Amino acid sequence: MQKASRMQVVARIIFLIIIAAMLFLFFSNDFGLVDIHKASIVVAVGVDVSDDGYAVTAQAAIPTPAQGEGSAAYTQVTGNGATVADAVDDINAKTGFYPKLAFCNLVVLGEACAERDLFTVLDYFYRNDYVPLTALVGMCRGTAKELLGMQPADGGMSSSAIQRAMSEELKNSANASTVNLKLLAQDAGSPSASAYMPFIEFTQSGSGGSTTASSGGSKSSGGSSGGSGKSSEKSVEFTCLTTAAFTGGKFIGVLTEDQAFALNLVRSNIRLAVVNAEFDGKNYTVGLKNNSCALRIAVEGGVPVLRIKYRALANVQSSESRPAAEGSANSHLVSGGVLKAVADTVEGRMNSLIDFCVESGCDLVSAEKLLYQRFYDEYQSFKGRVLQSLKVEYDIKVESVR
Amino acid sequence: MKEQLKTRQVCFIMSAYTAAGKLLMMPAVLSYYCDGNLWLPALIAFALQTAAVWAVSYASSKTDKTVFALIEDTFGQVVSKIFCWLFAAFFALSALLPMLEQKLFVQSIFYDTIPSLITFLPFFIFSVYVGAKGIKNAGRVADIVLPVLAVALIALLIMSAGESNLGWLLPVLRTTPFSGMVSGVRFSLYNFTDGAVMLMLMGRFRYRKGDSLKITLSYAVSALVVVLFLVLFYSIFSVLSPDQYFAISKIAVFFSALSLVGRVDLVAVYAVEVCMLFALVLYIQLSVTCICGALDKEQTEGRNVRPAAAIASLAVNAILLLCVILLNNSYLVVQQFFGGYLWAVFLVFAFLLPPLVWVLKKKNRG
Amino acid sequence: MNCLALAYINKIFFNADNNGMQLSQSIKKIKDVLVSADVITYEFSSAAGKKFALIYVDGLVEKPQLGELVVKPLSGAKAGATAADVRAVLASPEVKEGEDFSMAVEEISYGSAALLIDGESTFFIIGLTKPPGRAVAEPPTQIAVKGPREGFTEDIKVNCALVRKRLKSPDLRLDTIRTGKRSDTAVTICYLADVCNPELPEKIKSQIESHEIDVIADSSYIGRFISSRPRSLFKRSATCEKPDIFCAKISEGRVGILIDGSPIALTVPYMLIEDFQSSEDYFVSSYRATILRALRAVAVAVGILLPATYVAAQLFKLQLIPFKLLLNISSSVSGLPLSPSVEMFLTLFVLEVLNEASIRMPKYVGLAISIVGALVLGETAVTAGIVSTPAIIIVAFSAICLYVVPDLMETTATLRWIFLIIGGSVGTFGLVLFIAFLLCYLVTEQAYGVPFMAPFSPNILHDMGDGFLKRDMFSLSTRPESLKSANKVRLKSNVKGDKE
Repeated sequence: MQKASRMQVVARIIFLIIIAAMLFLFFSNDFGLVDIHKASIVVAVGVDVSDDGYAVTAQAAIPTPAQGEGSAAYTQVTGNGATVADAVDDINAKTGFYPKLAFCNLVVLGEACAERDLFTVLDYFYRNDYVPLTALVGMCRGTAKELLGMQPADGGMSSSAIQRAMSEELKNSANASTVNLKLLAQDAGSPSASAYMPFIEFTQSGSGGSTTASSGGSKSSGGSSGGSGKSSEKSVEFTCLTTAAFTGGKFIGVLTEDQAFALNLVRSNIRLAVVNAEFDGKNYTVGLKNNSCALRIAVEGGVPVLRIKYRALANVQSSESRPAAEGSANSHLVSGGVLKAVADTVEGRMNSLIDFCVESGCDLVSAEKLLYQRFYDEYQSFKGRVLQSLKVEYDIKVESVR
Repeated sequence: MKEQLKTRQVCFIMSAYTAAGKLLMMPAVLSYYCDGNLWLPALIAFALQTAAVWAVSYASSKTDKTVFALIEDTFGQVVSKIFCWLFAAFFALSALLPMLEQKLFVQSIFYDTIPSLITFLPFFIFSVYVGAKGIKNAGRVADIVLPVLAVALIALLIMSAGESNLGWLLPVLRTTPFSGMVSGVRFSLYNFTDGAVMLMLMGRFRYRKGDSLKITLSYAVSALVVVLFLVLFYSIFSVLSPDQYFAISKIAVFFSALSLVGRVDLVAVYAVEVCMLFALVLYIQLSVTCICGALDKEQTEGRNVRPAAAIASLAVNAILLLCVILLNNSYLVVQQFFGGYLWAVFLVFAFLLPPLVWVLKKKNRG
Repeated sequence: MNCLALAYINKIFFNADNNGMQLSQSIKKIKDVLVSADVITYEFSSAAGKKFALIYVDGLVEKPQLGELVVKPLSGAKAGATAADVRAVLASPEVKEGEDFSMAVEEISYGSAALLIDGESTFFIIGLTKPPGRAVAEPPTQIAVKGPREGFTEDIKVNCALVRKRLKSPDLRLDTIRTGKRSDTAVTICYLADVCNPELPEKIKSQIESHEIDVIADSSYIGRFISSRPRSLFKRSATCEKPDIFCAKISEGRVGILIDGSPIALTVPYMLIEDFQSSEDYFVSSYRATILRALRAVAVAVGILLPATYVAAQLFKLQLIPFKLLLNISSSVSGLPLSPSVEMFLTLFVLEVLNEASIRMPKYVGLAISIVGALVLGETAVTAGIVSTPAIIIVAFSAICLYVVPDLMETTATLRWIFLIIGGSVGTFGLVLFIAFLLCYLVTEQAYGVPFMAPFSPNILHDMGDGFLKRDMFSLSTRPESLKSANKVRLKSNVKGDKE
């Protein structure tokens, strides 16, 4: 009994000590934590290769007194270092804010990164447990710093505009080869050892032209800032219609829009793709629904055969001839000739993609991976030269909606 | 027999705590050694453990004595006490590596920047309290924790299923060498203590017809869920899997709705974390029970914890705290040590000793 | 009155022989004990000249009735004046005869009037008690939109009558014991003898009697007497202000406790889930009731955890906050002179102060408090940059959430503070750890053999139908298993096939 009461006294003393310790921690908050006041919320990171190593540009939402007036102000800071991590540290040193990458949803690589191994550049993002693997990755013409420093037409953050150009919706309509850090590493780490990412380009807003500029609104290296509502004369629009390709971490080249379209059909689940086809001297814009594209590999006669089976339902979205349909009341029906033209266009684009793959040795269609997964024994003999000995068969059928 | 648990609670303990402890590092470790075939070593270990659980639960149908009482009847009190101490040490040892994992997990999912060790220390306050509470408490907690875990796991599995690509698991059983499989089993063996846990639960519930089947089935179902989780994990991360520590917190991040509403998956992860905490503390509870058994002291009196149990819990936790402080930055070393040397201890206590309960039974009859 | 006290009074004051005592002597004997000025002595004579005296406590007796039923008949009596004659004349329905003056003193204290007769050792106790009190009214808590509106009052007799009105069963037992050394408060233990676990009432009585206290000011005192852990943050008996809820709980197999002077009745055994059940749940459709119960559970969880999670998220884990909301919060808190934890601490402190002040302040000042609280403190503090808007919204929402289950308010409001301190010092891990700790503590607790967390732990499938899920009346035809009632069936439907 005495022992029990002594225990209770000890328990009470321990309890009081714990409460005192917690109150101390509660009111002091002084054990090295980085709270909302000390952090800058990085929403996008741009990586450029410089002579000294790397220049990392972080676009961050920095807390500024706004008192509920809506969107937060943002700032852009560039840090330099021998590695990406070193450059991120440099940002911390420059601003005094700890860059929190937990909300970083975009990683942009400058054109110069093509000179380095892709995964050496991105290594920091894979090692850092706080960077989400969902962050989108893209390569841009010029430097990432300049790209992030541009003012989009809507007046918001450039990173938001770029993310919209790489959105799921555009991916699902075969207009952007959107990938995130995870998919990129998975592709590169597969037996195919090939990866791709959207190639970000921009056009001056309102210029009407589609020529890409190699330099945009340049900013000082110390940092720049902006905020919603601030209009800029040099506003730009971002597009990701082309795709950068990599093999073994090395930059191979940029796919054309047609090749990128074919890649998207092959690699993504497309909801609605739009194709222009010419038939009988007239242009037709055809929407392709219910897309399904399956890649099958087989080894026939000692040769790997890649079968690309593509099915879709087509309807005419716009045409130069009316009525386009054979039945006048059903103008959305697509004539056989147009369907063939569409199928030929799709096949042509796929063929172009395959040619690119074979020529560059960049296995974007994952032929080697498929062979590894399905025919492991045969893969051993074809390892490293699947593309060279690959025979491709197309089975493309586009039907009209009824 | 002092009935401390209902059969349902035994089933719940064997399912909830079995699954919870294996969702942190095991997927990454297994994928490191076995790539896409990570499910196979897990399946083998689970199959053996299921057999061990069945052996012990079926033995419960023949006797209502605890394993230590059976040892005492067979070999005498001294041997029984020795086994009490051995099992106490074994369960304390079983808690060490999962505790280090838990520390890293906590630092990863509860904090944005690497915090100091001090943030994990409150765990020991909890552990001292729960550790002293006894097995009845573990059963009662399991009653609540299992449904919570089930709902959270289902939510996480649903959220992650869309990102999976089972093609990454191909080719099946072709790419991993036998040595890789063996290493996978060896390095994940510290997670498989379920046979030993069942041994401790023996004689603490009133056996009714069909109970052994119920217990074994609950364990098997839980094992299948873990294997399914492993499959899903690799089919999502493939080559990145070995780097994805704390699988449970990573698996659902690709759920598209999360991009709008933030990391709602963390709510489910935190629910699983509650279960993980209890799964970890179960080792300490069992260790304290063994120590009290060795000292011939009652652990609880009604709802109240007896001083012996409190002191034992304090002692076990103090040792573990010291180890955690000393090994604060040496997780990989400890993991290598467990996988390289201590795996044999787990093999003996969790795989070999449970079936031997039948030997004791026979001797008793004789 | 306390037995020891009665024996003492008897020994000191009433050891003389009463036979043929003069009226003045009798009066003196009683007045020597009841010396207070509010003890009135009214002397009068009958038409035959016999002297009488009425002694009573002013304000506790219904005087008009006393005049009508006692004084008037006796004044006009011309017949003999023996005790038997007097008894025959008395028109009051509740008359007790006695010779022991200690009993007279006791009865006068309880509110009866003592009728003393000159030259007679016998006296009469006239039960015309009418203590001051309010009428039966709708209680301020546990209001049901669709359902009975009567509430308990401070008068135990009224309360017993309200119970009896609803439970006319002969098995209803209303056992009264007295406790409180000086208040001598009546405590009535109510139960259905054929339903309730028979050991329970005796156990409760012995627990109440094992404590000796000066005054029982409220039922909460008894609540602590019958609790196995009186220092716990969690109560061990349910409180209720409405006889319909009280009777429903008794009919499930619980024991109810009515305390004189308190409109709050207690019921035991108590399970945590009870506070999430409202009387209206049983009057509306089971679907609606299920939604409401889930809502209450979520609201309480949000109310307790929201301020703490908000602080922990800002300090330790920004990812818990959706990105766009984080940007807004980030804008709001920038430039604040306080850390997130201190900011929330102050805001919650102000809320508690306002809450306390608005309850204690006179009603006509209450409006001013609302204006000061809402406009001056809230709006101006934000404008002045002392606290941020999200902090005020969170604290306000938390307060509203907790009032969804008002019976748990004292526990939940305390828990909110504890969680806040933990959230601000250890972070989200601390919150999860404390939830686990609470879980571990609560699953072991029990009251009178009934687990506190039943039907969730231990898992009682049958009772789940009246847990967070509310099944329809016909599916709840048997009493809760967790209460171990002697009689299981509470609903028998003799209709076979389609009820229409």
